[in-house]
Amino acid sequence: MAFAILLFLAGIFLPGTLQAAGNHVVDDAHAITSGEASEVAAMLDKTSSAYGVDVVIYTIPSLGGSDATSVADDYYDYNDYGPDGILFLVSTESRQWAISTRGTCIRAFTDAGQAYIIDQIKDYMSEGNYYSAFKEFAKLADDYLKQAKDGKPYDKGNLPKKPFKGVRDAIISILGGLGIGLGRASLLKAETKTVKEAKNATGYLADCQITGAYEYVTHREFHRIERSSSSGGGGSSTHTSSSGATHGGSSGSF
Amino acid sequence: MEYKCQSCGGSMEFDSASQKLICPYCGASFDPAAYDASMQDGGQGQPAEGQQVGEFDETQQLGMVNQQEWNVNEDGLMSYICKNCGGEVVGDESLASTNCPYCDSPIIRNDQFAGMLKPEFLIPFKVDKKTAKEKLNEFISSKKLVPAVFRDQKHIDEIKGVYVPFWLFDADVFAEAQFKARRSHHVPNGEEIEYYDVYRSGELSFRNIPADAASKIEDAMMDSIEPFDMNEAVPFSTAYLAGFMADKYDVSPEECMKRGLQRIKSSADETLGHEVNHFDSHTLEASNVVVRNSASHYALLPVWILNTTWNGNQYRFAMNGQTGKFIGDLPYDKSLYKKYFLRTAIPAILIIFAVLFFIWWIR
Repeated sequence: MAFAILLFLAGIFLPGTLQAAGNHVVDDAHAITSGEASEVAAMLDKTSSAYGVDVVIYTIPSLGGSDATSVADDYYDYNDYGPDGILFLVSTESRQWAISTRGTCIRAFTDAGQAYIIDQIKDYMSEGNYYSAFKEFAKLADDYLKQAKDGKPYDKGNLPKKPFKGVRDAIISILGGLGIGLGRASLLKAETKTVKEAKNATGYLADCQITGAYEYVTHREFHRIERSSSSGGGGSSTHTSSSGATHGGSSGSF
Repeated sequence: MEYKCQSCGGSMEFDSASQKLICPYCGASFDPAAYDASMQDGGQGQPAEGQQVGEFDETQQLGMVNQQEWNVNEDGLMSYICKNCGGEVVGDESLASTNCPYCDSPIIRNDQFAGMLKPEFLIPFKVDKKTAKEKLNEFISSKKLVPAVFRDQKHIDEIKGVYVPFWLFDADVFAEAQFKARRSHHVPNGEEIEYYDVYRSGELSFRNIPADAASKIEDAMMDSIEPFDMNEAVPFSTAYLAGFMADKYDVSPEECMKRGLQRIKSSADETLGHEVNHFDSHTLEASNVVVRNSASHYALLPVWILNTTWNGNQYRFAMNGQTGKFIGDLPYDKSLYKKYFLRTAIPAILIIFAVLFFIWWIR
């Protein structure tokens, strides 16, 4: 009886010990509020149990000199997550991110696929809107896992359809339309003015004999064209982490 | 001078449709050049056979006006009593041909085109007054932004056929020009751009560049009704002037040549520029034109001039009396401008948006 009470009290007063093992949102950098964290965690929990993997978001203030990929790999390996999973690391102070994948998630989240995800949430992260970035990540992760389950993981040539950017397109349409309207009205206005001084005498040129023509090079310039390197036909690159496990993933800054 | 019909004595006028002198009273017609040649040559510097220099035989002159018959008024204008109706005709110093304001008979001041002042040739009117009026309406109707009230008024203050004096310039020039040009091509690992200095020169010949020689007529208007087809030019004869207005020149060929030279230089640059081929782009750095020889021809060219007043402003139009080309600046209605702007912009916005959506959808 007393032991039960002790356990109960421990559960209330020592929440820190319940942190790891299965916790999908670890916000050590306090990038989002606890309410937001709960919401995102709920999404990740649902996805993780649906597909039998662990989708984790981990934020830390500073990388402290270590590289993002190792930090991400190690956190995943040493914190009781399953053999299959993906971890998204964000360092708010160093402004770096890393994705680390394990097991079946290596194939589900290909290099090209990861690049697409980052492309979609990059702007949110740059402006510090981590809540929107993480929500979007959670949605995309769910979509990616579904695709992988159907045997068609997102990769080069098979990426999700980008959302329709209504506001951006509306602005383009308005500017373009106004431009065309202005062009037409200006043309009609110009039609009302037909009196112009003659600038040249082209109609009166009776004969032209070219007597001299020469040209010479004054200087040359050479511009190197960078060929963007691409990972051939897609797929996922992998590496080995400190624990000896095989991880896929990528990293960058924002 | 009044051109009297040799059949009935009425005052004749030049008819553009037939290109002859026609008597509106009896319908007789005469070829202008032949008519002129058959007359006594008092104003043209060559006395007819049997005549002494300086003596005029009025009965044979058939209405030619001598210098002495024009009186100079205090204000510098010249006046003359019309032989047909007795009315007073007033004109300025340059006036050469006009119609009597009372009886409409053509009156020509012969001495304006005497000796050194004789034009080399003229182009006769090919388009008549009726056509000029029709063209004006057509012209105004075709400009969508002209206020409706202007379009509807159909009121023409004045319409006159004028032989405008021109200097036509011939010039043989040497032209040269310096350009900078660039050309790029692919090489392994990148792209190479070559920069060049390009030089071109040539001998160019220009013929009959027109310049308006009447100070009272706007140069830009005369420029805008170009071109005239010089192939239809005929040797000058005052007979063509009957029924039309004409002034002698009051701007010297040297003055006019300045503008002619500007036009020549521009064309020379353009022509030499066309000879710069095989480059991605080129720009003109410097150029020069040297006139080897030049000549100027004094000619009268046919122009219909129309005036109309609207909203307190005067609007002038000109029509090439040979080709019918019509020009003139018109007012525009701001609300019509807005209307066309919206009428084009709104559908354009919707279409562009629909296209962008469609592109996204089929991806």
